[in-house]
Amino acid sequence: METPEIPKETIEKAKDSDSGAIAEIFEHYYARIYRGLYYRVRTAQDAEDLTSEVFMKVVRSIQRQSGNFEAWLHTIAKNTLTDYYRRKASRKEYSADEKELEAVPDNNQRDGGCFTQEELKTAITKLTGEQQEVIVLRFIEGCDNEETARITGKSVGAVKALQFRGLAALKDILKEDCRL
Amino acid sequence: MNSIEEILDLCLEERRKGVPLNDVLAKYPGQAEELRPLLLLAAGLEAAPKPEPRANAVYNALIEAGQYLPVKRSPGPRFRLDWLSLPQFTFTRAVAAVLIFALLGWSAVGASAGALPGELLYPVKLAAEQVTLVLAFKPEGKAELRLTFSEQRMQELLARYRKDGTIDAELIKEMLEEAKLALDKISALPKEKQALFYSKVLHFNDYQKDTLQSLQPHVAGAQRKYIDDAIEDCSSRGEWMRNMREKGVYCPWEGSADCDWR
Repeated sequence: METPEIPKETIEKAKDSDSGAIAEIFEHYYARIYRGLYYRVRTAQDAEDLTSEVFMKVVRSIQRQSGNFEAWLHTIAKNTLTDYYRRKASRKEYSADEKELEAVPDNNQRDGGCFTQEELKTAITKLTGEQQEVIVLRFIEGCDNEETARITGKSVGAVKALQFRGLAALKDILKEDCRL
Repeated sequence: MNSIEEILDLCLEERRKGVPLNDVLAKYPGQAEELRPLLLLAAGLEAAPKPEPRANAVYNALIEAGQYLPVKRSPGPRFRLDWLSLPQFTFTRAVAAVLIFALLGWSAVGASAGALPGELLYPVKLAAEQVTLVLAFKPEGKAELRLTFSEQRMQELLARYRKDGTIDAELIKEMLEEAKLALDKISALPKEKQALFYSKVLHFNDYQKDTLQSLQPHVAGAQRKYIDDAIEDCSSRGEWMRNMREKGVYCPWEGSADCDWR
């Protein structure tokens, strides 16, 4: 995994409203949660807004946190994402501003001559929620099976199954571009 | 016999250790055709860019988080007297503010919001800022205002550049100075808010550096040096602040020799 788990003492201090510990949690997890969300939402701006929303929920409810912190944090991110999809579904159409924001710097660069970052993002959003979560944790965030299992609350076997099904589904979505 | 899910996972582990694709697949000839595209796809996913949030997004989130944190009361004397919060001083500040606004005129203050240096209403805008500062009773309010003013100077810098293509060196200087003043205010904050505000200033500094860097390629000639110098200032300030934080020292109030603020 890219970042080691944050010390338990920091979490305890944060529960006691220690701003230094809160800042440390932000430093430690903000970019990681952002990256996880980035590949699952439409625009970078959406990812930023959602990440901010996740961390506001963390600050507001950390005193009630128990059990594994990372799993708790990812559950908040997952629920925030679910709300986002609901909001999007109820709106159906999205604004011209959002369309403009979709442009990413490497839009025309194909990873390994195969797919662009934007195509990858779009493909990931077509997976089931469980598949998205496992694919992003395993391949974007670089978690191993055990960490992915702990964060998602699933068994290692279930993670491997979701990994296989997720990759197979992505292959079908991207096959026209990649000849996979 | 392993399932295809298990085999895929074993192959992924092998690939991560650097074993060539064909060597990995040679171990599972019966599944090679099915596994190949999945392993290629996994490699593509792992090589995909890892985007970072913009520095100002983190900064804004930290600011918002600060509003949710309860202020903890220190265990000191319950009715400690703070001369700055005495009613007569509060009253004096309020009277001063009202007088200034009366002199300047509310409409002029409102109209000055978008004023740039050299324009008629710019001094009104600066005076209004000073009044806001006077009216901010709490140290955290004053510290936040310093960051707001720094942001304001940066927006003015960009607006001036968009307007006539000039880089105002004085604005850059004031922008950096206001951010420094925000940092200086940390010692006056409640102990439990110091580290969070320190992080805010740090991310704010990164945000200003990002903004200047995006402006840099568009500026040529002698003006470019102002931007280059400011970027260097932001870089060294950021580096200095990160070093201090690693040591657990939030200067400048510690009085340490390391606290040589530039």
